[in-house]
Amino acid sequence: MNILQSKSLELRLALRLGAVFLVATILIAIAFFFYLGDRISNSLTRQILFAHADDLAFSIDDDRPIMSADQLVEAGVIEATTAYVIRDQEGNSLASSDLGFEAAVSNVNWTRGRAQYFTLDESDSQAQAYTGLATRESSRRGTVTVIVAEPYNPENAILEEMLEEFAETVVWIIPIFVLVTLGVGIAAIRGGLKPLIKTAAQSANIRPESLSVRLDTAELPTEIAPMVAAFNQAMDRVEEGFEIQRRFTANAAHELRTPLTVISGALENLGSEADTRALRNDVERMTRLVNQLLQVARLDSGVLDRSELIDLKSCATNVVNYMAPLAIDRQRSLALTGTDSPVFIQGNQQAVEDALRNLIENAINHTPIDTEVKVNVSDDYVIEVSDQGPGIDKDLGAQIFERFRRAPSNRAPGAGLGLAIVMEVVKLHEGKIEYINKSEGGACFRMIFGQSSLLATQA
Amino acid sequence: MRLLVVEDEQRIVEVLKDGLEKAGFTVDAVNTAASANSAISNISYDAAILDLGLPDGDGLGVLKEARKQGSQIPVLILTAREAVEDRVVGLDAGADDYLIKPFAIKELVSRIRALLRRPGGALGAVLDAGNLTFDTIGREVTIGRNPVSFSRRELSILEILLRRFGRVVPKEVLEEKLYAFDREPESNAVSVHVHHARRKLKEQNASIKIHTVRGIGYILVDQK
Repeated sequence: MNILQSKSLELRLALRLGAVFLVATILIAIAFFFYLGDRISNSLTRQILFAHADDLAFSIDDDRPIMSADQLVEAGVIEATTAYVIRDQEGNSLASSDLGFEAAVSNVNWTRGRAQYFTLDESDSQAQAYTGLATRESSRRGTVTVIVAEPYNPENAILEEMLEEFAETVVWIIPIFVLVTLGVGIAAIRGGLKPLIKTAAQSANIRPESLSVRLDTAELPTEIAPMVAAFNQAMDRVEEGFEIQRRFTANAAHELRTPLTVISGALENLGSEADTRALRNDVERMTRLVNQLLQVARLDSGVLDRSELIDLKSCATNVVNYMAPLAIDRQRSLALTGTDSPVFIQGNQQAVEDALRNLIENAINHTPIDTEVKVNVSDDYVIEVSDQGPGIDKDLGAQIFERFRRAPSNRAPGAGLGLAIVMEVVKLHEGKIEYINKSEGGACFRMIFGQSSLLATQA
Repeated sequence: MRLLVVEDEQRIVEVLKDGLEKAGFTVDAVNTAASANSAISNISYDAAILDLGLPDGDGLGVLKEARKQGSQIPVLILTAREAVEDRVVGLDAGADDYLIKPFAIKELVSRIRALLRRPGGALGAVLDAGNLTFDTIGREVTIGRNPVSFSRRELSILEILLRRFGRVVPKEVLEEKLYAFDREPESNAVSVHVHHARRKLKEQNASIKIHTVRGIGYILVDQK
């Protein structure tokens, strides 16, 4: 991945800041060097040398011989200390201050279109150290090369060296400066982004059951605050939507159950039981379907509070008590077995009871007349519902837990929502549902409640 | 027996009135919280059936108001919401029972009868279910027209089951009522007495039957 395209705002800002600093520093350094270089080249010695070279070239006449060194000194063209060589275009020496200097600068030449500065150290043939200039000048005898030198002046040299040294030091400071600035920049960015990270953590905690949470805008940078405020407003609308959904569930319950009450009541008041049996069965089916749809709606709304400490044993007792009259009416019996002590988990009582009710309803539908449906609660957080019916076709596998999926052989009333509800409830409790066909006959569904619901209660 | 029905849904009122009147009750119906409050304070009803959602207020408000006025009227709440909290809130507010819509009229009638059988209820002295009548003061039971003799403990069991007709009564509740604190009941004493009572009911062709809900207790229901 291209690092510049990185999604990290921090990295992006740091990289751009670093690039800006680098470019700015390089530009400043270049400008500085040009300025400094200009100053060095315009330093005193060099100005004198240029002036001498200029004057020497000007002193050359086309018809008179070139003046001797002494004459030149006398004419004020050069100083007594000045050494020089004048060469024609072919490199032949036209004049010089002395032969020793001429020999010493035999290698020095005008090159590449610009003036050359040079220094001559003291040596055997040379009693003096010189700072010199080789340049090309136009004269009345055409273009000539003038090499001119002044004795080395320590005062001027120290100044120049100081300038050079300063420039060299600055070269080293630049990268350090860039790095330090970058570091400070990153720290500043990081500090500036801290409220954003906090905001991100806050928003990560928003769940369907905690929709009232709003992100704190107090500490946010003014550039980010409007975005977060807009997010908060979006959350307002989402919460409102959820609230409407929640109210819809309650309203739908009321709206659907009222006509069902009317119909079933009217049927009961009407004529003999035999006449209305079929109709009453229809109403019962519709009632069950409405109840299941509401359970599904509740589960789907995602607002299930799983924080209560609930006792699986008392859930089972409630549901068995509730279902017993129905079972007896259908000539089946219900039994509750297993542990005598409470089995606590963290969860939602209503949901667990809904799930269990669906399992028991199914079992009652499948167990033959005059047999028993057994509900067993064990200390290891398992609720089992077993019937004495024909068992479940193993080929169906997990399909039976899908919504609206019904076994082809299943002729009992129902829409195929029951086991889907059980599945959802068990999943919400980080548990699992499994079924077996018992060797002695009949199906057995096991709701196994999950580790996290258990750990939460121990904490 | 005069009942007050507080319900704003006209069709439900019609059905309730029809069913309850067929069961022998006199029924007055009101459809607002305000009229419910004035009805309860002016007329001595034997029981009230209260819908939670009313146009001018919550049914719970009616209930709280009635209890504040010192009314002991047995109240059965009708609700379309089955959430545990809703039930608990209703019972905490002083309701005696609740039914979740949709419900069977038969069930409503038997719940109302059970409420009336409770101590303080007008029918507290004589309990009846199906073709059985239990005079709780004379401690006499008749099935059809015939007096049937039950032992003291069988009578106690029958009385408790009758007062909670159609609902599961935990075995522990029967044990508590049957034995004084200082006497530890034998482990199967209750089931032996239930067994005897059940046999007598069957021998005398009673229309009600004691069913066992294994692991919890017993339930008295109309026989099919």
